[in-house]
Amino acid sequence: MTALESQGLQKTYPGAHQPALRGLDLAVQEGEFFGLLGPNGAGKTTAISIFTGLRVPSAGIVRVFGHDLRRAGPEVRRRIGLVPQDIALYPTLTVRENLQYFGGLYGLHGEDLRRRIADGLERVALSDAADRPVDTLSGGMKRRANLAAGLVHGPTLLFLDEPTVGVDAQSRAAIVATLEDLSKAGVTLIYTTHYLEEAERLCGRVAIIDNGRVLAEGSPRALVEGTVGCANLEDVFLRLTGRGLRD
Amino acid sequence: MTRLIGQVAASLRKEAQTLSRDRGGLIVLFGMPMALVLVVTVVQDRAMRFVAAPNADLLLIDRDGGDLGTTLRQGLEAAGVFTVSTMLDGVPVTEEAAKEAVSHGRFQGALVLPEGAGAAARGRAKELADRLLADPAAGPPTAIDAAPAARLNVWLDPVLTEPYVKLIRNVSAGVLQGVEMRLLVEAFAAEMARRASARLGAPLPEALVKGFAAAPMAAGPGALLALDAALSTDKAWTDVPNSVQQNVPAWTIFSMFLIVIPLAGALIRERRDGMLTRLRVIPGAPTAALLGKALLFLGVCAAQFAMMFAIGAFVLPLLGTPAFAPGPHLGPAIVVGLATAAAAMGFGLAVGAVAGSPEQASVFGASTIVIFGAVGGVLMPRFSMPQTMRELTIVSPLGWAQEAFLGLFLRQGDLASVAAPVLRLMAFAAVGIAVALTFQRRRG
Repeated sequence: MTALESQGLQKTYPGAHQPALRGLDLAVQEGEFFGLLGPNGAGKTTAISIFTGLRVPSAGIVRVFGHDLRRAGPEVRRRIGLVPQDIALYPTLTVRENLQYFGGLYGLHGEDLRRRIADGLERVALSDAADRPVDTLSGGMKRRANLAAGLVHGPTLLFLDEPTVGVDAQSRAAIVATLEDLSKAGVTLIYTTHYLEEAERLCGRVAIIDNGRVLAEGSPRALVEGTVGCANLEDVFLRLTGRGLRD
Repeated sequence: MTRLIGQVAASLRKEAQTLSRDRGGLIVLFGMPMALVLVVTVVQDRAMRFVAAPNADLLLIDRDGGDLGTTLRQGLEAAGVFTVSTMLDGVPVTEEAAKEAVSHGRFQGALVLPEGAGAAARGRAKELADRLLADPAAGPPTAIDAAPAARLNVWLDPVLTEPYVKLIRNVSAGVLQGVEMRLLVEAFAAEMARRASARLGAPLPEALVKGFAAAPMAAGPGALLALDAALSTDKAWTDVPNSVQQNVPAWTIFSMFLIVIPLAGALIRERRDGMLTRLRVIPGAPTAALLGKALLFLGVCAAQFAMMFAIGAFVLPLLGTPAFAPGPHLGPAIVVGLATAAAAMGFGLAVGAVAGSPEQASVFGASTIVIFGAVGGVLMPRFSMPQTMRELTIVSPLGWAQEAFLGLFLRQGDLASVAAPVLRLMAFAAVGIAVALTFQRRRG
């Protein structure tokens, strides 16, 4: 079954000279680990905002598990999870209290919530730091806590916006391991990253987008093999999006 | 519905946890108003007590020891402005002790009746009567040969304002004038009786002489010319509260509006740091988060209301002020408090939606509250403002709240009588929420 499908997705922000998305077509199957890659300003964050219902497209349609997202009820939307690029946690609350809050907002409570929190903390290797305020954690721990908050309700379609940015190698490895576990458990993962070797290793399929359009789509291996003179995904990426600096 | 209740409960719990760890916020919301109401009420108490009902505590040092002192004391007390005491700390007051007490503000003034003042005044009155009746055509004598007039000293508290000093002087002079008049009438009556007896060759009955002396005074003030002083409106006097009636509601309102700072700050941080993004992905969560905040800060306002009213009722009297007694108006006051809390919440939501950073919201929120408080008669009583500033009260939501509270506590009004300011507060809350929603949508 298709977990996410977008057709002719367009988005122009009020007052903007250029559209952020110009007819984005994507289809991600259930259980896939899908990478949405692109340089700064390519339209990745706008696409994720529309896929998660945060923004309304100027044109086009988004279907989640076969449902038109704009008309989808809470049952469908509850299957979506988001791990934003920002550490979207309350800094004076402990990790556990943050997870209790977000779990509570998903209608979880009691033993079920406690179990999910314990599972989530273990998954991101933060059980020992569960009762520490978020603002006392290291950057890597905050990233892992941010991931745990996106997982507490058990989403089956998880969007991750640069989940490993700015963390040390250890935390990055822990986050990657968590994502691999989730993927093995059947969770559909759609993530953006600038670490192309990470995407090449993790993703079953990627889409390279720029200027609001899909430039190439397929498995990393197929993209590398299909592009003459490219040894890895980064070469493909630079070939397609150019070497000009982006603001 | 059940899901929304659960979401709101989660949000309320989170807000309570967040606020409980915000020591600065708790000090702003509870510590500062507590300090303000205690300090300002006590500081303003003396001044406002006088404005509300002018009264001066006066020491009388009666070194004369005769009936002039008694007459003078009765006259001063009858004037209705003075509370006269001849004792200080349980012992008859001396001049030195009186000076000390007045200079430290324990009394507003001290009046010294010198030794022999009664005898000197009577001697001068008698000489005046003798000489006038001896040769009425000659008119009043230009100089009196009897003992010089006794000079009464009045020492006044140096911090008294000019109008207060004038009031004490004028009232004292009026009382002394009455005493002089009485002495003169007595002297004239005695002299006329003496002369009549000499002509008749027999003494006049003592009762007749005494009655003659007392008759002009017996009719009392107003027997010949009466002054009817009336208020321009039947409610004018009620616009002057005492310090407690002014400050307890005023600082309660001020403290409630201080929720604007943490509320707006929380909204901005939620938006800036990405929590709002996470919330917006969760069905119903933004509404629940907002309701959770509203409920928490409503609870904060209720706690502030209870704390400030309890301070007024139980703590301020220990510091020498009158007790704050809401009495039968507590119910309507709670309604006014709720409307004030709603207005403060609406304002906080609007500031949180419009401001770009917590710092901006904090500076703008705090400045606006102080300005609203100043023009609204919260920082300073409205009656003490110039007329133009009084008219500006109409633009201040803090002023509307104060108007409603004073309407209840001062003018003995009911809820219907303060409906106008309460409705203005509710409308202000609605406008604040509308502004917040409009800006949130625009940003979304």
